[in-house]
Amino acid sequence: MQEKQRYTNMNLSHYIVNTKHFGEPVYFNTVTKMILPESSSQETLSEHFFLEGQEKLALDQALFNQSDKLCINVNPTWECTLRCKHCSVLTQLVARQKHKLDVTGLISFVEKALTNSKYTHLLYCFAGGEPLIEAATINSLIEGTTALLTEKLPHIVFNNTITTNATLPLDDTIQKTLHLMNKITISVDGNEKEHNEQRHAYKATFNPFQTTLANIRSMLDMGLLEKMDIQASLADDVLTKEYAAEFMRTFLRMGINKIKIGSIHPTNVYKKPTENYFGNLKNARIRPIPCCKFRYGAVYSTDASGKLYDAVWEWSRNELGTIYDDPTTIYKNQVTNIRNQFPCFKDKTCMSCPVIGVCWGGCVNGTTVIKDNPSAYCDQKKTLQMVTDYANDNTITTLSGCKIKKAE
Amino acid sequence: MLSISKQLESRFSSDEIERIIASRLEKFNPVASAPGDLNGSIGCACNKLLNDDTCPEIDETSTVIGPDRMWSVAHAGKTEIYKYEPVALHS
Repeated sequence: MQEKQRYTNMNLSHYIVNTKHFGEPVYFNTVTKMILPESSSQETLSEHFFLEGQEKLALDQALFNQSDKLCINVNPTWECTLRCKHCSVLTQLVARQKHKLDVTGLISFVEKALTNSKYTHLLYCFAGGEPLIEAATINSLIEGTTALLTEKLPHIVFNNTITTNATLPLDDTIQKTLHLMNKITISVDGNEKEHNEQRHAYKATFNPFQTTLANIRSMLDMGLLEKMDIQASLADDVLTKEYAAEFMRTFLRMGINKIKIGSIHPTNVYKKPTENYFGNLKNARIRPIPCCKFRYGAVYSTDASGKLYDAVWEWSRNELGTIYDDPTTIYKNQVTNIRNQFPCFKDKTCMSCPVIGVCWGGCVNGTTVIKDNPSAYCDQKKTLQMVTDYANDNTITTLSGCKIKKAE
Repeated sequence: MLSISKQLESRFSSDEIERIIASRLEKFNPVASAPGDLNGSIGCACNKLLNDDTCPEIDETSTVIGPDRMWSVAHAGKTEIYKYEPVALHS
């Protein structure tokens, strides 16, 4: 008979799941993602926050454990060739940006952050606006950062990604940018009619869909297939199996098989969630790490203003300082932001939920819907069942992102 | 000689394309999502409904520098018996 009562040991924290690892009974802490054998002493269990009353300590350890990966979402410009109805930064866009990204300043910040730190990886995610408008700036930033790392921090693994609408002519500068990327995400939001309805050209008259497709072919000719993926946000009224099939067919015929389809999330302009988004929000899933806004020491955003943010939504709530600040100031401000804004902290149901560590209250882009009440928008029962099932299958540790093996 | 983009047009046969689509649509549910939202890029990726793999955690599109590398569960401290390592989930 399948064991389902896995959360009843009153001596243990709310966040502990009984499971097995290599056949051995173990406790799995869904928040800290640690495992201890069931035979562990009280002292060991206490040391790793496995006991009742240690939930807050476990949450603090999980939330404020400095990452070894530093990701900076770089928005080099808020200019864009399109004005998309569903754009999450529509209110940020400008016709002409006055300032340029301070490449030297950002590299200096990165140097300070990486030096004598536990970081082993650096990632720039370029977005915007249409980031390729500032291709020369991007190239300068990557080249400067590469020079820094080569000279002073050779142990740091450095990668770059870009999300683009691929509407600009691929001149030499842009081609160079694309070759510098490890991953290129191209936004295509439906078949031609729906894409063009959603993605309006700004000022210039052109067909966004055909322009993007032509550039995708050019990128393929540049040998970029392995780096490319297509990312779609489809409106509720078109998102049927047949429509999705036709959409995928377009790109599979071009030889591209990395295709992601999603719903449209609420934006600063259109705050009402679409039905698919709403349904998706309430759908149980395993989300082993907190949303990007709440990844301490891991994910930041910046733009030409030189400000640093912890997320790309609700900008006014997200400022942490500037690239000219010492990183320790940024980390300190991030702790304050997380403590003040992490929705689960304000939701008693979340705080006592055994699967908070595989949910974390959802994605911050749902803030306008969720506010400080994530538990009203979740399917706790199903999430619990998923965790129990994964535990029974001995797959929970893999799904939660830990590879666990016996110490030598 | 054909350009790369022209060559790629024959990467998948019509039958293969329909098989791929059918396979992906088996999992299709506009209000369902595979477990985990693990794309490192900002944008709408956190609300994926349909992926080119069963689970985003083995989604090769997110493995190059995706969130699997941004994993924050690196509690590398050893315990009595086990040690814990962050893992590139695609590996």
